[in-house]
Amino acid sequence: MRKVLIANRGEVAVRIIRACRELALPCAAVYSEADRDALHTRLADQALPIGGAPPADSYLNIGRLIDAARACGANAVHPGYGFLAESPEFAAAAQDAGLKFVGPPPAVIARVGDKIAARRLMDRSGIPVPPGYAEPGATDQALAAAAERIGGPLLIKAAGGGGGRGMRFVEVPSSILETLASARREARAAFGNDDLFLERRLEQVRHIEIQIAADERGKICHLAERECSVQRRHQKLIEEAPSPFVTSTLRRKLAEAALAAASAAEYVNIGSVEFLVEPSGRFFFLEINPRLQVEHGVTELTMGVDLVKLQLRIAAGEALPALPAEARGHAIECRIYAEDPAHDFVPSPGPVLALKEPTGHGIRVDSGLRAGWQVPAAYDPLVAKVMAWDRTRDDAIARMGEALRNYAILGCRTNLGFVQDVIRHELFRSGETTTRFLERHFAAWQQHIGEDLLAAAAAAVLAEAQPSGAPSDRSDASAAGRAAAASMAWDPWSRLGRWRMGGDRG
Amino acid sequence: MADVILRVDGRIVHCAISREGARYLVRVEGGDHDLDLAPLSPGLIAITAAGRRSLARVARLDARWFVHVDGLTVECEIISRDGGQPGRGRPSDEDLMTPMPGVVSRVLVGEGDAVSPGQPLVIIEAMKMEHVVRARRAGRIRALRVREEDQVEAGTVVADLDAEAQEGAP
Repeated sequence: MRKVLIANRGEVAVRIIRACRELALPCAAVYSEADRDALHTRLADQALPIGGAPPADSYLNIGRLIDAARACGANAVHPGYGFLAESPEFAAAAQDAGLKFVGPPPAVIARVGDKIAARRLMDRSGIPVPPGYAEPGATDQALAAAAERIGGPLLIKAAGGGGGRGMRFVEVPSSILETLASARREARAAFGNDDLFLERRLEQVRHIEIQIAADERGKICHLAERECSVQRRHQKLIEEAPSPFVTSTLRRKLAEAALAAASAAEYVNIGSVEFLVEPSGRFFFLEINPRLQVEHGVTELTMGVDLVKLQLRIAAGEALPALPAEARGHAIECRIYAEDPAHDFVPSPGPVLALKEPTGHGIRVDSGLRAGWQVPAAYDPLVAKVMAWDRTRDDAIARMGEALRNYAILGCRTNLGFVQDVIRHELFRSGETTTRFLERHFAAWQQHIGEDLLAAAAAAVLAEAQPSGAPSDRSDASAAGRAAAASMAWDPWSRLGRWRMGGDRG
Repeated sequence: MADVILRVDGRIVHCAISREGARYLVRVEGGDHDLDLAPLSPGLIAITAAGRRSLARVARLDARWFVHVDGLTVECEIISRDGGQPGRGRPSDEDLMTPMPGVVSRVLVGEGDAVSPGQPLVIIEAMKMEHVVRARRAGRIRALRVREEDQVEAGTVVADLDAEAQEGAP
């Protein structure tokens, strides 16, 4: 492998740059017009423009990405997650252009990407799947008849969906027909494939996944589980490893099923096999994610393996190294989104006026942020991930709390206050979370800000605006102006000084 | 004495602050708070309250201030402030700024009008609140910078006022 093109943006692009550096592999970033000044654009050895802000013009544009790889002399392409990471067309186009795709072969991506085919393959391989009905090309009538047999509540899923996308909920089977029609329209528009299937919605389940790794020589192994039950709108928010629910017996069973699933899919490179787990320990196959997961860091922290470097090494044809069999300590990840948790998690892009990220022993931050940048409106609002590792789960939660408290992102709204409240909740602390934990306990969440904090904030603003009680002067907006104002606060010449410094800003 | 308005998730909180050197007395929602502030560098302030110390980070975007303290971020605007130091002039437009973003609902004076202290000049409406921008000194309106229906940011100067001795009665 000579040079890697990173076909992604934001924090995952930054993460891949770090792995390339450690492997002494030159790397090239790509950027859209909205990401001209993004962190990943600045950190890579070189950065190539690939088009306009809309994803279809840039990060989803296979032709432009392949052209960029050719232009910079890359011979490998890392897709990250999201965008084209699960596109068999992209993997095939890379292959045809003589680029090594850092991920499974196109046929494997296609095999696990068709959720109907994947479910049927797992069912045939003896891996438990949720009660449901999955036939390619099923008509509305066939689905409605199946719905009556299975019973409600049901989920209508799209063959081309996955990861919570293209999913519809139906309480009573008799009302399914009208929902099927709109689900089909949506699936056709979103995935170019309107095949649908049904699964009974399981109540009180956890979302637990097994990390797997397979080399090109047929060796396959697992790296234990991640617990990902804390979700909002079917999107993960907090993940951890190990799962507070999984016993060593259950871990062995889940790992066996995951390895069987990976073998059935003839899996290569790293991936995750997701399961829904009932309180009894009974579990069902959900899907295989043929890529790096957002939450890969908690496995890295507990298993001592760099999964991105492992991906690159497998893609370079290396054999799987000996991997640890057991997790050490406990790791938690909180995803930081530029969104407003008090208003249905609506994305809230905006400027990053000031930024202070937490550091210290056992704390890791994977971030695409930098001060002075503008979080673009065109992309997923995930901006960073905070991870905390410690010997025990309780210690890891405490460390996470302190890390979140010390994370300052000023200028755009984030979920930092929300995740602090979530990790303080008694059900989270006791490890008793299901996939519906947030919707049940945080539906009407509002940020509570105490009087002490309001008083401190007001005083701090006044001190910053009018240092040491000097009369206000609106021209001291810049940092230089403020510093000058602070040092000259009682100087009779300070006004003159600040006029010079601040210009006519504001 | 200064008033700082905090906007916390749509809620408006008024704080009245008086200070003596590093000591800040803040009255917020009826409670009194005694704080000690030590600026460390631009945008970074150590705050000690009731024996507990925390760091505040402050950033500004036009008239909006963002403060991060104890893990949470509060958005603020300073609506009125008074340096209170005798003998030092204030910028002539200082009194004529809008306190909050909103819509100009009425303009009550015209260019060239003589105004007296306390006379209402412009009314701003936002978040179902109405605020009157008043002249604090006597003078003459040199120029009006807003019109009715204008969308304004906090800190927008609504008019230029020439300070002048009150001329003969109109």
